[in-house]
Amino acid sequence: MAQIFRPYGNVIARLVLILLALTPLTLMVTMSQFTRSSYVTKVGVPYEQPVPFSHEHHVNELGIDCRYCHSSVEVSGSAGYPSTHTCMSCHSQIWTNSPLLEPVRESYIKNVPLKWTRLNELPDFVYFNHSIHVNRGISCNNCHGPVQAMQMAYKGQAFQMRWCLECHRNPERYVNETQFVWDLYRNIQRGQRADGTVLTNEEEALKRGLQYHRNEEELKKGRELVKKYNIQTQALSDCSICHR
Amino acid sequence: MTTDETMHNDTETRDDRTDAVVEFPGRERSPEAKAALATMQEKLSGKTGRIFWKSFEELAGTPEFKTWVEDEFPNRTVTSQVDRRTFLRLGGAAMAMAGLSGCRILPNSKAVPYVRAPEEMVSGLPLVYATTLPRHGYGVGVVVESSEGRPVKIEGNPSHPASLGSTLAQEQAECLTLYDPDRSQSVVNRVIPKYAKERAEIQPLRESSSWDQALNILRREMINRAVSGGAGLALLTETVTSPTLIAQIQQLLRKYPQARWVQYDPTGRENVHEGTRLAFGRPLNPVYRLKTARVVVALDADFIQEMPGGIRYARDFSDGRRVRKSRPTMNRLYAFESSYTIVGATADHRIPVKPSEIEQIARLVYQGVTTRNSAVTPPRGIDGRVISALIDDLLANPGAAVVIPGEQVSPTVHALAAGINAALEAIGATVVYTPPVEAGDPAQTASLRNLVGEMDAGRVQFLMIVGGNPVYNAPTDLRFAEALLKVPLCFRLGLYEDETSEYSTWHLPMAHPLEAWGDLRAFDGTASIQQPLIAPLYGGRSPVELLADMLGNPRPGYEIVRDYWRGQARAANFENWWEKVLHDGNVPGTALSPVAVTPVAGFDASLPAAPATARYEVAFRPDPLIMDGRHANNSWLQECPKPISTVCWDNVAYISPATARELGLIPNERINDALNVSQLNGKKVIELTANGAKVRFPIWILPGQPDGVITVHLGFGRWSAGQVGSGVGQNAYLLRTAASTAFAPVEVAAAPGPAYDVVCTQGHHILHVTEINVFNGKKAETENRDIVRVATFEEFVRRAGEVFPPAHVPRVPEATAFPERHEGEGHHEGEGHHEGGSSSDQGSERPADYYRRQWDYAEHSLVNKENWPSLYPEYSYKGFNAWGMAIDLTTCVGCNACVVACQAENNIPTVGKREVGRGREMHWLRIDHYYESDENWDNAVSHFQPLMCVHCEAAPCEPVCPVAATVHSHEGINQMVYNRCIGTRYCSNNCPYKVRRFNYLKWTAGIGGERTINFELPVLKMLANPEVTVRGRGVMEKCTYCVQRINRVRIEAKKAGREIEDGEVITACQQACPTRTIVFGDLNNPDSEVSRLRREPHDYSLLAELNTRPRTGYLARVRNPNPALAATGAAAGTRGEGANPEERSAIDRQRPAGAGGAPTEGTAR
Repeated sequence: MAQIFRPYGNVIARLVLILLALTPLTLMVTMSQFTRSSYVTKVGVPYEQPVPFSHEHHVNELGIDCRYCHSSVEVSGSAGYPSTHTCMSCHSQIWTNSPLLEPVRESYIKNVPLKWTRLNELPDFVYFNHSIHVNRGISCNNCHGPVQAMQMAYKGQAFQMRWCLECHRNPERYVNETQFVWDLYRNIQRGQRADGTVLTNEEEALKRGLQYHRNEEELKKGRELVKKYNIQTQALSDCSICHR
Repeated sequence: MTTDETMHNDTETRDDRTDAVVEFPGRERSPEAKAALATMQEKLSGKTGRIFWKSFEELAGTPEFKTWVEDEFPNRTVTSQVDRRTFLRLGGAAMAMAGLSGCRILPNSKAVPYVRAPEEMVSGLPLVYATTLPRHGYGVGVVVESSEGRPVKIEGNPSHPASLGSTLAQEQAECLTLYDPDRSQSVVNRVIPKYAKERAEIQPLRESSSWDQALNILRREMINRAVSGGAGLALLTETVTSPTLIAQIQQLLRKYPQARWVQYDPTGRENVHEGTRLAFGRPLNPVYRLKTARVVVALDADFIQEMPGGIRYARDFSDGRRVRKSRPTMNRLYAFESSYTIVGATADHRIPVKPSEIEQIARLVYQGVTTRNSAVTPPRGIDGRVISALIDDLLANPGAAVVIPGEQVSPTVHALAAGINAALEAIGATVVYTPPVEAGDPAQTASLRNLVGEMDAGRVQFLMIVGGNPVYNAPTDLRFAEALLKVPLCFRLGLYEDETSEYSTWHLPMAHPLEAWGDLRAFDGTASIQQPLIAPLYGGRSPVELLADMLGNPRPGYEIVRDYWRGQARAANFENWWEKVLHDGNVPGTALSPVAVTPVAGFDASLPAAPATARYEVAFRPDPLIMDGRHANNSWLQECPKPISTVCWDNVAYISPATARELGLIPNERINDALNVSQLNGKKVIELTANGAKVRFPIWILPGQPDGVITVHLGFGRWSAGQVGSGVGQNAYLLRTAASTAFAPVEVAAAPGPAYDVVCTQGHHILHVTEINVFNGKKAETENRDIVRVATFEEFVRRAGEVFPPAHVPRVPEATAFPERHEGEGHHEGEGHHEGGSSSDQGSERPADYYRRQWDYAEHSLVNKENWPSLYPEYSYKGFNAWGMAIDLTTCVGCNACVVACQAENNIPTVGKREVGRGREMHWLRIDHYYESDENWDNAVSHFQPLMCVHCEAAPCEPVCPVAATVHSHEGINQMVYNRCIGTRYCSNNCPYKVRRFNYLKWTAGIGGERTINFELPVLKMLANPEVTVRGRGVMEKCTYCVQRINRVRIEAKKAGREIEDGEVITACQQACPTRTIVFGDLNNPDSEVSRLRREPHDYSLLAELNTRPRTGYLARVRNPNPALAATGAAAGTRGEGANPEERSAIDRQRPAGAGGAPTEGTAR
């Protein structure tokens, strides 16, 4: 009787075995990488908006403070979106005929709000408060990426919980003087600090939207700030700080 | 005693009782049953002392009850029998799918900013406005939190005299009514055919219309009427205290002199005014000042829930009873009651009497006080000693005693009470009389009768009904509905398209008080403005706007109210004055000034004769939650358990045990009663016949209900209330006539027919099982965990507050050194926790160095006063805010304001009647109600105990959670992390306090039924508090100590670089509480109010013997019975036979369970 399997059948069998072992592994890695990819998290993906608003132009070229539009960021949990009226406070004077601004004018005249697409959205069981973070010198760019360089706004971070906890467990790596938040964009715009010195490494990193690792001396300063701010580090990662 | 013995005895007892069941309504019992009864009697007869118990099932020890208590999850239902393979298959699939639920593509939702942002609006920060809500037609000042333009939470206004910062349940629930999708949303026109006699004939002829059409007809009609001076025009309103509306109505009556204005409220205050007219010669409005009262007598008066000034009275009254070691003073309350109310439960002496007897008692007291002679000869059935002692007590406290008659008692009682108050020099001190707050004819029923006469005679062609619901709640003998069909044109302005709308030719939607401008006067006359928080959701208009239209001058409500006050304000700059009035929430200087009054000489001689006492009387009381029916469509109030009986979603006929025996409803065998009652309550139906009408009610045997009195609550049995309120309960108004609005003689008969099913929460979440057992040859309770601790004021003073046994464990000797605490220890999930049951080791055998391991925190902690050692390393909360709570059981009146406040703050869903019956009610905060009695429970005394998660420092729920969904915070809060919870319910099973609630279904989507709240409906989405997660299915939840409020305050304090001050964090329950019973704060701050309270000697931890170290502590209930009565054995009120046994000194009692061994003789209480 002829053999059912030829010798090369062994190779196939081995291959099949190896594939069987590898498939779940590959699937797991693929899935986990997929969920972290910008396709899912939308990090770095500019969204279409009713008006092609450029943060780069307004923040970096014109030097408008964040708080001009996001006016409640220092006092409230929500940073707030600018009302159409806020846009029109300038655009009733300049670029009054720009076709790009037609939706803004229409909104103002017809009293119908603009509908922006939200970039950053937290699940309903997460409560984030802008004001306390900004007051602790956490710059906008820490979470939102290089905002001053965005032609069209995109999401800077995936906002996964372990990313939040990285700072909540080690606040000394991120806290700053409150003024740091607002001086940052002026410094970036000037290319140097107010006293004429070059941008610090941290400012450089924030400018590019990169994660900065503080050196020992900076960490010491951070720890002093943590003390000054009376940040109770252990309590900062209590569940009820964000979930309630 | 060993467990085996207990089990054995349990079995025996159960068998005895099962045998002894006698079927309703009673039959010959078997010799075996008789023998069993004898055994039971023998068991009980030697038992002395008082027991605390919750339900009859518990008292009877029924097998069902034991199963319920012992079952791990008594409220589960098994939907399918799953075999092992299916289980594994489903489990595997679930596990695989669980991973997928973590993957999602983020939705692209829209952010929609304002076009022109309102100036005062800061995105993300709530705005708070002062406004006014009606309570019995009188104003209660509130502040409403508005989140992004949506009112989400109502609190009391601290600067308003009727509120002082607190509310009752109804104010808390008002937000739900505001958004209620059942509210009337359009103008409706009904053509009422001439032949129509019933609602069925008019129902199909309903068509939607518009305001324009309605107002055109209205205006035309008003112009036509002007010719005849308003003949044929009538205005029917509820009690009106609004100054603007009164001015408008008076203007209307001037313009149309032939028109009539009638006010009608089913539980109005006409008897108050008539009584004061009898005593003083003119109708007056009594305002009680209970703060300085040392003796208060309530004559069938629920002065907390049934009076317009109830919230204020509750505060003032409780201020006189905050017993502290450093301030041992306490007022005394005597309550003569025909129905069991929270005032009676709070009273130091509660004397149940028939409604008709109140007048006799008032006469006796009046006689005794005016002749200064306490020797009285009471009528049969009333204990003379109580009345004599009461008269002595009143006479001993001139200027500090007050008699409060209930709103519904007869005018004679009001007149006599005024006479007593005058004789006691109380007028000007504890009670003042002001001119009436409302305008118009105070004799509401009589004027309604006249109006109905006119309607019947066809002399009313145009009727305007503003608010109210007379078709449903007018006295039946007036036959209001029939008369209404004879009115050719009837406009009805109402919040709901309800019973009255069905009989009216036009229904107009009314704006909710939170949607419209208006004003109201409070119980003392203080006016306050009602300012809207939101534009009318359903196109409603306010009464003032409608009246302006009728006057031919249609204007927006804002202008009407403002213009009225422009004429009233005596201010140089009206704009500033107006701004300040709106901001403060009351109009300064508008409280009515007291008038100097003395009773008319000889008024007592000309009072009408006392009513005859019938053998059985039915007492009509407004429901403590839905009141006269106006809140019937509010599911928060419907699902809130009623005080005392804890019935929800129904009304029942309350009847005393003795009367039930007399009527043959339960067999006349005392020992067997509890079992019989447990099988009868809420299941059997009785038929009440009064004033020619018959209504069937489920029966509810209530210890403490006066004999011969059947109490029924009004407000139920509505047929057109909306999805929630229609068809709930029985309509008690059918029994009520104009001559008998408060009570009526009644015939009672057991009604045949199917069993009814009333749900109550009394037997749910049991901490404590009362069992009467025989062990060690002695008779005692097997389980006495001292859940509720009660002492008399006399004991409190004598023992300087140490009214119950001090720690069972000897104090640990001062340890020499404590190890340093490791910094950055991070979470201590599951650490330092162990389950209860350390009662067996007494500590004396511990190695000496064991205690060194205790941190000094635990050593001096207020949550571990008894210094129980722990098996685990101690944990220190030093350096953090240690949040804690103190609840004073002395001042808790059980009003349920906290329950509804918690529900409103924390987005707690309602589950509907069926699910409540399964023990699935979701209230995070419940008010446990305990009866205290000896084996004769006919006149049991009530105790209230608000209980929510006590935030144990060593929480038993935490170590059993497999996914760490419940963990401790560094501030000592037992956190519940919804997004981690997988719904094993182990935590709930391990919680000794039974405070955890499980989302068996997606309650927040209204799965409990159409009567529940669906947070997914667009309009009800606006109701949810945005600061709190709306929980989904399969998630455990519980009290969070309002962590959202803590976080809000903490963030503000951190931004300002300061510590959180005491009193800055106020939980929702604390804020609502009218008596300031709940105090929240930082236990690590020695000066905080909560620390001071927790240091009181009568502070105790619930189930401290489990070593859970709860952060919530209770102050033992102190009662202040008259020592003169205690000596004669009539303490704790009640009619002689139910008197207390001899007062045992509480310190002699020891807790057998806590001591871990067999109790010593006479330990039961």
